[in-house]
Amino acid sequence: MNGEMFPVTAEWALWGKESHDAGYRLLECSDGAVRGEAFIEVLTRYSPGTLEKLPQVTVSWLPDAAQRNYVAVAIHDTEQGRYDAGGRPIVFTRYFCVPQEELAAGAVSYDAMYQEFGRYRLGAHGPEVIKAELAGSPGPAPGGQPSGLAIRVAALLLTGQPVCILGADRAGLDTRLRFLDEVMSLLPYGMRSRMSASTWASSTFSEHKLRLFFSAARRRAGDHVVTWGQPDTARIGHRYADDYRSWLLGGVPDPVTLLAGISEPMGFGQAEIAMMLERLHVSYTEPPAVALPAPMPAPAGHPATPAQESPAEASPAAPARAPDPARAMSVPEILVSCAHRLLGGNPNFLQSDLDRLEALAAEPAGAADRAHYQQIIARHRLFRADMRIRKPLQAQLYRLLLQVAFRRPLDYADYCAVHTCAGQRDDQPLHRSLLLAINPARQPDLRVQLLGLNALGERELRHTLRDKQLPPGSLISAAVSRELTVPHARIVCDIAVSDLYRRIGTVDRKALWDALVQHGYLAATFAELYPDQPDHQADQLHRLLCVTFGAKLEPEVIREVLGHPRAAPTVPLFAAVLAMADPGDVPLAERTFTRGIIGKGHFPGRVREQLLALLPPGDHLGAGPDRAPRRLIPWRPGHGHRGGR
Amino acid sequence: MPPSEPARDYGITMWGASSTGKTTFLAALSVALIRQRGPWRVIGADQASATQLTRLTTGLTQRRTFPPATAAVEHYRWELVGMVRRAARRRWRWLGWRHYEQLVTIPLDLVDAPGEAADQERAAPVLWDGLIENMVNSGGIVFFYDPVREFENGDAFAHTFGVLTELSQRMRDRADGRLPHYVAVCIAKFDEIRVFETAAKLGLIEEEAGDRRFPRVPGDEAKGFFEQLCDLSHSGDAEMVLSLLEQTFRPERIRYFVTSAIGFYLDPHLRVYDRDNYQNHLPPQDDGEPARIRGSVYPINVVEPILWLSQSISGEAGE
Repeated sequence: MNGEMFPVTAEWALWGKESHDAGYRLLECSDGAVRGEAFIEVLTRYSPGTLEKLPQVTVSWLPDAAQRNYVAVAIHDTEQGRYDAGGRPIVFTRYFCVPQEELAAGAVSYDAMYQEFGRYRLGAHGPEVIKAELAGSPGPAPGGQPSGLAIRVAALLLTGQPVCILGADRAGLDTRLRFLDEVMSLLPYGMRSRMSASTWASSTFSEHKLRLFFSAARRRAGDHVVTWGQPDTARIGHRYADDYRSWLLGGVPDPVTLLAGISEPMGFGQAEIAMMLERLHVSYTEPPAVALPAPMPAPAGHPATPAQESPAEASPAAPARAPDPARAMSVPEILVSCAHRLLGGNPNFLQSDLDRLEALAAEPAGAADRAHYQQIIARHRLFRADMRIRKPLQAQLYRLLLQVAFRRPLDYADYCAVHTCAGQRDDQPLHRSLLLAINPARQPDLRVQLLGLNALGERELRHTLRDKQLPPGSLISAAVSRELTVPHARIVCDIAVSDLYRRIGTVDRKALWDALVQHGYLAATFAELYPDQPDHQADQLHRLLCVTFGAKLEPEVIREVLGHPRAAPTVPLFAAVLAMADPGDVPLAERTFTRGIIGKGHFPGRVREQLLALLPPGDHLGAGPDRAPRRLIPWRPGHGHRGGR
Repeated sequence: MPPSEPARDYGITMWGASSTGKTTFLAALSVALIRQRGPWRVIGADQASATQLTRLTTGLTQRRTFPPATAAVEHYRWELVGMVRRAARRRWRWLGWRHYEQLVTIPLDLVDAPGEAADQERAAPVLWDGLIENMVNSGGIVFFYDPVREFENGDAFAHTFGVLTELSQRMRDRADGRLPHYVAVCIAKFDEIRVFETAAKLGLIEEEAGDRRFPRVPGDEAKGFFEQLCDLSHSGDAEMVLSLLEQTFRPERIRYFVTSAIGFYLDPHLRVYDRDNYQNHLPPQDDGEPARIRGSVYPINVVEPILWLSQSISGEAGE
């Protein structure tokens, strides 16, 4: 189309006054298919009101008697020395209309029509129609992007409400007309068959029928108002408009060329717009009906979600609603819409849904609602890794899903729910994009932190642990948490031991010892987690003892560890102690272990007492006679004593 | 109000044939209030109306040109604001009345339609419907009767009858059969030679109080003057306009004013009205010239009809 000329036939009318007239009227018109009454109707219907600054251009449309669609430009201007009976300057309107299909062949702009027809003095050559050639659309400039304001205005027009542009007083007529063209280039060309706009409209003419107009002030009507030179990026709050804006911004590489090719006449009714959006794969005519599915069973070992705990809180099934683009979408509707877009050909324009979610994310949801959202996320696999969308968009999607469907911050139960929603078993790590959205390093629940960081990778885990220097008590508490599933507990225990062992010599040994005493030196925990791996148990316990007491165990320590007042020693614990005991203390260890398993073991009270009576007295549990006892001195920085490896 | 009656917004619609001076009348309102030095001034109630108020007023005063012909139904949301002196009975009645000043705001929702809208045969449907619909929803009407136009065209009755017939049809559910509007009948262009001389010949002129001594037709003579002017019409139909108005509206809700938006010329050096040099309107000498205003504008009876209408409407609304 670039530089090409397209032949057109223009019918015309001249509106104004003779010098003896007081009122405006149709002065002349062509003798084509459009009759005089139709010209009067359209000229008054799309009047911009009383204009102060001239010339101005109004664009409009009309059908002829055969329902053929015409696109029109009306040029309003005065003529030197032409005054009416009252001595007032006459504003003439030269009106030219061209069959829409002739213009569509070249995607001819309003500006091209104005430039060509502006040269005609009407009525001077009789009533014949005008044969002219109009320049086709040059298409988008290479690398040129539509302005943000034009994109917004194009989207706003899909709401069905007029759009008023303020603040363009100093922009020239050509600039304003080209802006109207730019806006219309962002809509299907066929919509010009129902478009009305003006480079200026009187702000006190509140009843005009223009869809898009420049003005000095807002009129008393429900117009969208934008300000010249100030593109607004806020959400519009209308489903079609937000979807379309999102599509224009990121949905297609060259929307202008695509839209210029859609030339069938179409209007601005919401039903027609819905069809157009569906055709462009921007939106869906029917909002997906969202009903609450049956509650999912809690995953094995996971605590039940609040919704499952109290079924009475569950959201009632939302009935399917008729499409109403002006109604704000609910979170379930947005989630399902996101899922549809992700399944579609080009899901990058799910931005509009994300904007809607963003607006709703600030409102905390109840437990039942969160459970409902989680079910939708799981069913539609919204946490899946294989999305063909840009990474920042994916990150935003995950972040918003986590915000609306889970508690903030995430606790361990929610972390498990994320696993379930992502379709991952507990022994499978979450994928990296989702983990980054969770941002485990910033989660206050240490279990979530450690599990997330571990899933992110060794490097991230080590880096964070090195930075944080977690208190030993916290690490041990996380490791023995009864809420953890076995796979997660193994991960947390191993991280805790390896982190403490890494910090050997620098860790607060007193605090660690206190924590170990409180939890039976973790012997029972390891026995539960690794029942078939006694060597691994012994190895981990050995590491913990090393960090706490150093390379060698004193007799008092042996008594403390194996003779724990509440927890029976395990064989791996005994093995770990033996490996660290002086050879002279081995009998002590053996006797203490024996008394420990009998005293705190499985025997009922009477048998236990009988067995203990058979053993030597308690004071024979001392260290070997060849060694003097040593006192355990907690290590403090700068005081020399360091445990060895 | 009967349930079938549409809600009215107590606006005021300017009604008259083309070129009878409706927009010029509105443009002169601000000047008239300033010249009166009374308590009232007019302001815009929204940005659009404020902009138009400024544009119309400065066009008349600075450029001394008449406003361009109105092309569509324009709505002006203005307000009359002023400190009004009020009186209240004191607690101890024997002390008499206590006086105080109170800020009063009277909304002026004005509708200015092009004159051709009142011609059902020629007007585009959208213009005709716009005018009628606004009149239906108005509480007051300023009816412009231009004696010069009537003398030349003789179409006042035709315009009036068409509009009132349509208006009556749309509001036919009224219990008393009359339309409820307050109507200010403005006999316009009093400054025009033919109108002024007619009034003078009829002996209806009196001198205005004050230094400038502008001539005027007293309020109680305005209706009589209107009747006389109607009798002078060549068409022979104009006399029916008065009857038609009084049959359609409640007579007690009609008032007559002899008005001029631009007033009489005042020599800036003499500062006194000159009976031999009073024409302020400079009509075009030929087709290629605009009409102009010769000197400063001194509106006559521009404030009075608007103030009466707005006070009547708002008083009724408050009842």
